[in-house]
Amino acid sequence: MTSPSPAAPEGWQRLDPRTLGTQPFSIAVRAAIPALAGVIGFGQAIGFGYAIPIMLVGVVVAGAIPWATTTYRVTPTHLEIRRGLLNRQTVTARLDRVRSVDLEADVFHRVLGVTKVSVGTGVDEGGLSLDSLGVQAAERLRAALLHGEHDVSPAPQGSAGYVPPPPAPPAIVGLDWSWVRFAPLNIANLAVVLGAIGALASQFDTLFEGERIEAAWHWLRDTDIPLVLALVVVGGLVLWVPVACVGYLVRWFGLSVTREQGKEGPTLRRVYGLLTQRATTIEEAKIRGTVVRRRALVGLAGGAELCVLTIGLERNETHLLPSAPRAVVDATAADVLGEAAAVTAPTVPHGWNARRRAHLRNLRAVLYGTTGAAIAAWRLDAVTGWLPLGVLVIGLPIAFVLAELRYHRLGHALTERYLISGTGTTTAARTALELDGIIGWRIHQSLFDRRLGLAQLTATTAAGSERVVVPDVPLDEAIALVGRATPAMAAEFLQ
Amino acid sequence: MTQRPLALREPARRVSVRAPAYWRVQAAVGAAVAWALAAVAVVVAVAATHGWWTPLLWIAAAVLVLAPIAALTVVPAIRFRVHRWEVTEIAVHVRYGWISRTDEIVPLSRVQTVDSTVGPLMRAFGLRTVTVQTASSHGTVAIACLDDAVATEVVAHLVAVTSASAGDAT
Repeated sequence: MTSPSPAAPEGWQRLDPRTLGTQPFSIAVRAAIPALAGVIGFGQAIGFGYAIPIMLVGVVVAGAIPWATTTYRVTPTHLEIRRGLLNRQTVTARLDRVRSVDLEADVFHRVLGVTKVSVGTGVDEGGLSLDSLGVQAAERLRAALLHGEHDVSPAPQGSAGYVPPPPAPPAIVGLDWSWVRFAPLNIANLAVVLGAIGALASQFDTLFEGERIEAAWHWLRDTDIPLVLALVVVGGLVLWVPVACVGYLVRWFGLSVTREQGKEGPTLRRVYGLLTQRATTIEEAKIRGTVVRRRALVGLAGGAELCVLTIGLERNETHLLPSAPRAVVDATAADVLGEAAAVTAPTVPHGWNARRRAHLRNLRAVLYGTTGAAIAAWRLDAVTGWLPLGVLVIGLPIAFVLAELRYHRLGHALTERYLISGTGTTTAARTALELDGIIGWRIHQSLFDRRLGLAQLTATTAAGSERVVVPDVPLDEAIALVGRATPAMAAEFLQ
Repeated sequence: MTQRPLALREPARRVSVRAPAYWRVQAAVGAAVAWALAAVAVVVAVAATHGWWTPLLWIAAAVLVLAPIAALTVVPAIRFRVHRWEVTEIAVHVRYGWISRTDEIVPLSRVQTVDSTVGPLMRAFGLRTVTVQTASSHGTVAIACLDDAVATEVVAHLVAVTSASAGDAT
């Protein structure tokens, strides 16, 4: 049994008592649907007057278990966490293996002034987390784990022993309100929202009875279709723009990226969120590169987003910046990479054959579409004979533009420390991978590649999606690139 | 030296001389299945009521009969010519593919595990595959179909070199 005092003899500490207040809410949110089902089922059996109080007591008791059973301490070499009600478990992590300490506080946590602490050690499973600590205790624990300050004893009561926190280091970048203009342009988020609406609507399927759909269809047929379409589009925009802006602000409010000095070198710290506040720390030594993405409309409006490629974290592609002006993204990327050339260096285009391939591939798609439409027009009376012609006339310019886009975004470059790969059709992506982070090469040529003298060059890595592809690159350039990027590894195989 | 275009040298060593026979037997197993399916297609095409599907069945049968022939005849020889490997003090280099062509290079300092595997059919031919894994899920390199003795030698060499290198190989 653990002693009830907040700091047990050997330095074991409990979670913050305020956890008792947050846990029931987290449980309620996590288990809302089974809990509701349980209450309704129980309620019908024994009456709601009993079921609801029993449920509430159950949730509160379940919420008290983590607080009652979890203790932790930081020794000079290890972080130890003891937890579990029936299965007592002691989890130990060596301090020099700690790679990240993330703080996360949702609305309930923030109201009560506590935060969840997750400690990453580079092992994929069995993450260490403490839910939850007081904000100050969490900060002290973070400092102890990342900066080697071994004083995590609770601060003495009263103001005498209070040490003011060190002045905040200068921010590399912070959220600017004007960035919100990019939010409505992020169409991918629209798809997410529409999906959510669809899922919600399917819950009310009584609305979609056959008769009503038929009635709606008749109404639609009798009205002016272009007018209805225009109204739907305008109405959608009027709804979407504020939803997107609010969503962006709620998620990224107060974003700031700062550089701190950790015990094993500099770290990046990213804090953001209006309701759920997250603070993530990444050791810079674990960063192997960046990806700058210009999504279709955001890119047209001069925006981009930035991800860092890391190794040994739970998620190895971390959003450092959401949609933001390109200049800000580029400056931040250059700062993180420590090399301006990696962001600005022009990429080498992949030549005539790569361009030809992009065009032929798209033309083939148009041809298939036209053939399909022709067959449909021939076999089905309902389809007009103009359809194949329409597909061809509309498809050809789109195919041309997309192929040109793909070709112009395709390219590679080699700077002093980074391999750069440019890819993408509607979304342009520029990936910079540290040469030290390359742990292997693959040069693949299909039969068609060999006829065009092209190759698919892959640099494998432990960071991000674990590979960086340089597609459709002329074979001799691919080989030269391998030789120049990793001379030690490749020299003996070149001739 | 950087003036003329660089080329990737052919890796020095071939796979086992018994590999083509192994590939051929493997292809024969596949061919037996394909031909059995072709026979079923022919029987159905002849016996069942005829319709628009009858010519499709004949085409399917023809494809199933013809498809395995390449793998039974010329492919093993081509693969034996193309498949090559080399392990130096610094890196592993393998080349494979008979229509497509793939070169893979992994530096030994980044190797995390070295496995050798042998299936029942491979055992009958005295063959063994050595697999080298890195910290990238896309960075696994297999040196397929080596003689048992050679494979053991390669594994010993790889283990010796990789255990000597420092760092966490990421």
